[in-house]
Amino acid sequence: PPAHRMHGSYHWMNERALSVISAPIIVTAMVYGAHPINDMLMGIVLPIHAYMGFGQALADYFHPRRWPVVGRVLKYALVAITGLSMFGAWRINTTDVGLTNYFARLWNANKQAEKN
Amino acid sequence: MLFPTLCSAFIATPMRRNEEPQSVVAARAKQHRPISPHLNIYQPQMTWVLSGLNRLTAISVGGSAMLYSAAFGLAPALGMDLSSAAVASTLASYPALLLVAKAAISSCFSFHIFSGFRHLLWDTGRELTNQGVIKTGYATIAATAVATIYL
Repeated sequence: PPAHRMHGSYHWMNERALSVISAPIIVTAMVYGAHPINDMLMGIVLPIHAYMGFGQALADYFHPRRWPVVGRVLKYALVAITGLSMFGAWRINTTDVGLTNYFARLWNANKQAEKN
Repeated sequence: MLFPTLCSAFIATPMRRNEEPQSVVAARAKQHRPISPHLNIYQPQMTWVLSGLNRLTAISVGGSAMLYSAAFGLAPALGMDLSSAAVASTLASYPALLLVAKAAISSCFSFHIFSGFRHLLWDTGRELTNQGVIKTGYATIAATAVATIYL
């Protein structure tokens, strides 16, 4: 296949940039709490980071060269689930209380019940 | 035709030389032959154990997060209600389950974050020696334990 920087060094750079960005996003969510811009960034950066990570695991175990059917099916499934999860994150951010608050409510569900 | 006759005089094998091509015989022998141990004798080392664990935690945390948010996106189509109040009240009625789930998620999540830091540290060129790998490996495990207890 023809050499393409998007598949090579740019891919590596983008992957590290996303990982580096994810760290302060998570830290601000834990330390500061909810913020709409942070939640929006979370809904965009984390699914893309997971998409790249899953893509690497998929390339290691189910490379389309060796698994022509399963490999391609899983690749499309990964794209679909990533898109769906970004859509779900957007819905949580818009129709519900936002990603950080949503997670906080689930995390502290028993403490809330005790308060009520 | 003379050679097979001579062979059968000494070896008690069926005379299949003219009936089966060698590729078929070789394939059948390969199926019945055991393979030598590879992964099952690889001594557990800081390098590959932590790396495999990084991938495992990534898949479990990322997979559940992606599936959950995808389910949230599809909830109206499926008729399920996944709003925060509904799920929180459901979870509140199973405190033991919540504690177990929180422990699993926090340990996997913090391990993945700290070993991610380790990878980024390696990308800056630091700690690329064996001792460095071992030292940062223990630091990762310690930080994970602390973070799990805190969360």
